[in-house]
Amino acid sequence: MARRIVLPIVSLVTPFLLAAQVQWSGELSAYVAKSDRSAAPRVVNKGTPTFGWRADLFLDGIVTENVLALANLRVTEDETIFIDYAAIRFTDLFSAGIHVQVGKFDMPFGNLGDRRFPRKNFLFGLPLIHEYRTSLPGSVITKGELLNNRGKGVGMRLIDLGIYDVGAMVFGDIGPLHYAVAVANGSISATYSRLLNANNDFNKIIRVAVTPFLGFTVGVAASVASYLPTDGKPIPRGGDVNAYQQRIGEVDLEFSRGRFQFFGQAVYSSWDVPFELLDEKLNVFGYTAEAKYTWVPRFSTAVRVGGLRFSQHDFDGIQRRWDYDMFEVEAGLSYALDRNAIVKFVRRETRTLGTTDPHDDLTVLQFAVAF
Amino acid sequence: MNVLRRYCNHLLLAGGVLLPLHFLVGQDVARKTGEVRGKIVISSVGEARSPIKIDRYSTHRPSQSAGAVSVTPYRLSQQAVVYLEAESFKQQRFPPPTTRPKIDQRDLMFFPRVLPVQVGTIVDFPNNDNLFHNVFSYSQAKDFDLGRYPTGESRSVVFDRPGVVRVYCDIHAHMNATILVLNNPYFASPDDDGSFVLRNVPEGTYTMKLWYGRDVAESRTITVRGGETLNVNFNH
Repeated sequence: MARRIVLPIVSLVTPFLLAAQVQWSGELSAYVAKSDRSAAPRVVNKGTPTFGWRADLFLDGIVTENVLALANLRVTEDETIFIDYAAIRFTDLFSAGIHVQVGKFDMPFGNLGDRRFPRKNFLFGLPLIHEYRTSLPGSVITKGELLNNRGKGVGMRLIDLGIYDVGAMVFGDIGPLHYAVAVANGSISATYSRLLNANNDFNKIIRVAVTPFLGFTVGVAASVASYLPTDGKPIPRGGDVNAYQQRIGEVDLEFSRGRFQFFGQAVYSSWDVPFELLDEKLNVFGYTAEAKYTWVPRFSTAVRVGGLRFSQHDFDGIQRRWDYDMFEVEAGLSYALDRNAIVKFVRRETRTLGTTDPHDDLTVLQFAVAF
Repeated sequence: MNVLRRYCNHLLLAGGVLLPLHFLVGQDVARKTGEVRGKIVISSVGEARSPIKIDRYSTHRPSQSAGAVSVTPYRLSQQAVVYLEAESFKQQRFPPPTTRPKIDQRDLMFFPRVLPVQVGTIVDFPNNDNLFHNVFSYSQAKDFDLGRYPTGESRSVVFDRPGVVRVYCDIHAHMNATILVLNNPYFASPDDDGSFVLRNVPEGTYTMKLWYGRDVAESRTITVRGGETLNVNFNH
């Protein structure tokens, strides 16, 4: 299935790259990590200390002044190659500052930006709201299964990692106002980045951001998408999978001045879920906030907090949250060995609330270089 | 008699200390000076530079450009410097610098690309772009991190040790400049036609270097004679 989507994208972008003036750059990171020993889903290597690595390669193809072909390749320690980005960008259409992008790219939802990559990431990994897998999968399940899934890391994420999906986007600026409108195959929580569309609906995303003064940007984004596949389990009591949607909205904030940087994001999502007896809306609120300060040249500290709060529902007459609430704190020190090379020491503490907290804290030493 | 002896002792002591000092200082003062003139010809100057990396992850906020940003080629005067080096300069004291040069941040570039300064010079870094830059250097001769500051504001750095200071922007990886912190005042940036002049150079033998872009492009030994003009041309 993955081949069905990757090959068309590659064949779409490759002629442009061949015809273009191509320049490439990349990042390489290597780390040693030690998690607590437990069966919690975010434990790295079951708690056994391990080395790991990741390489990102960025290809910029400049076809003409206004046509770009952009591709990212990512390889990790298991030597799997991911194509995160394979898009054609048409810039400044009609000389009106309107840009159009088609292919596979990051959805305009939030302000993660290039913190996706180890060199610019203040810490290790992505915020909790991008990584934690809830108990709700992108398929039809029973209430009992939902309850049983709690804390097992088998469902959809609130925001699916780097939110790479296949679609089209129009974006641009009007003075300090920025806008982006996109449609894509998947949903914010379940991108179909390696699959063709699985239902008759597209993810519809709109984002507006404003920068009233340099260094301060506040943005809002919203998305509506069907998330159940047409050829999956049938809807109980019958019905159309396209009627069951995820509605998700977010507000984000970015501030920087001097040697201080801050990023914050709050997200609220609601899924229409077809259970055995009736449909319900499963809601979750998530947040993340991170700050970095450079004390002296080369030496910085960073801290990130994040959390998830799930809505309560009736499970056999008992009001329970549909997944365990989560809270996470991550703190790190970083030292720039060179302008393009840093070493980070990060400690991440994760708390699962409302149950016995599994031991899944993490300590990481990571080297990252850009080239 | 004792008074006379003491007087003589003082005279001898004063003479012993001051006379050599007089000759040492006087040697500098009386040293004749000459001039070094010349022309730099760089065959590749003004050639188009590669566009910078396209920032595909800034689409969540207003950005300067969603496309390929092509940067303006530097003029010769902005990226070439000639300067003199000599062991004797290390022991000499020169008048403190009187200028306060700047490295401008505009159009996603640093201007000039190479800035020669004398040890002790204060350099200003004004931001004249409508976006943030974060000027920094991890060079041995000077490490600093100016952070982010808005359009129209400036920060300054004192360069108090001789050496090569590589300057970068933490936000825009393609931006780079070099500050040559020199222990003497005998340096010059050429005009755009390549012509330069070093005035009041004490007579002697020196190493003359042409710095172009990121590195020394050419180095040669010259001898300056008092009251004369030496012609030195560089063809790189």
